[in-house]
Amino acid sequence: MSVLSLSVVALLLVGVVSWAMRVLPVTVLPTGRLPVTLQRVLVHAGPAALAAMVATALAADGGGLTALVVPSPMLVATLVSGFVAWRTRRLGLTVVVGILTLWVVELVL
Amino acid sequence: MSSQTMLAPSTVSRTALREMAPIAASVAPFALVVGVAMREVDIGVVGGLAGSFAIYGGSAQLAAVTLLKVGAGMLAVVATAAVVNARFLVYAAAMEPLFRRQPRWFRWLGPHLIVDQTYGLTAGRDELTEPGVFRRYWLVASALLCTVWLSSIAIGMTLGPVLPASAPLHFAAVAVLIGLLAPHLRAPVPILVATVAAVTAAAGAALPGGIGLLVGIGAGLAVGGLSDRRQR
Repeated sequence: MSVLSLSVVALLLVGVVSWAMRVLPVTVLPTGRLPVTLQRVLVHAGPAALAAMVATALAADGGGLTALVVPSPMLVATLVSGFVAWRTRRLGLTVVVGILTLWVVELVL
Repeated sequence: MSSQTMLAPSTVSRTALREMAPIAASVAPFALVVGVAMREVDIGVVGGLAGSFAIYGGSAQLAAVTLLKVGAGMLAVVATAAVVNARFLVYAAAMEPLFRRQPRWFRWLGPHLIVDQTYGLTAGRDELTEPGVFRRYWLVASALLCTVWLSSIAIGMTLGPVLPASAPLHFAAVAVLIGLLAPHLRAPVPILVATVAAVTAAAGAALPGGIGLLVGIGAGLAVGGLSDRRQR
């Protein structure tokens, strides 16, 4: 495995794009000149991207849409850790509760 | 903050460290997960850390690594991670006044350290508006976060094999995403956006190259844009 594998190049490319997105509104495009519509839509990027990633992980075993409704250890752990995160906003606690829930549910079933 | 109450540099540094410490600790488990996930793609520790610093955003990196693992094309990887990191565009736009009266090097390099945690910590803080104070606070707090972040990724990449490879541990990556998502879900529009994105992504999960994920994010953004238009 070389230091400059295709994966490293991909990550660095993502890095360049990420850097540009962080720097451009500060240096090149003054904040107010960004189209208002674009600003409004981008506000939703966080929830949209994170929810899509969680759903993709849930459906990774080929369940498709059913992975979101048919009870499975993974879905139970998702809902329980989601509740903990929603109530406490504590990332570490959310992860620990999620892992423990999945472990217990898999043990019981 | 007025000039007569300007904080001493050492006070600014101490405040930054004290306030960032618990946040940095809370990202360590996520960084370990990212590090373990990085083991599954063709990447060494040096390249992995360089990539991690370049992206400097856990969820985008996790998305990129997940797609690389399933053999997605370069374009899909970059596009997906870019969309995930697109919220930094909004953070940067909001923080632009703080970077306005700064040295050129800081205006070009400082914004790279914008993440959910540093944005959240500095947003709306009147005592940080003085350029010198903000610059010091930003660099010290970010240095701590970045150090914990990268060293935890390195530990995950190095010690991955001694961690038990079980489904519950694997779930940690998803739990972190859930932990980052849940605080958004306190108003109708973000809940609608997340629901549409999740349902669309799950429906398209079988599509190759992470296209389902992209379509899901796109659907969420579209619904969010339409909801805003309706509310106006």
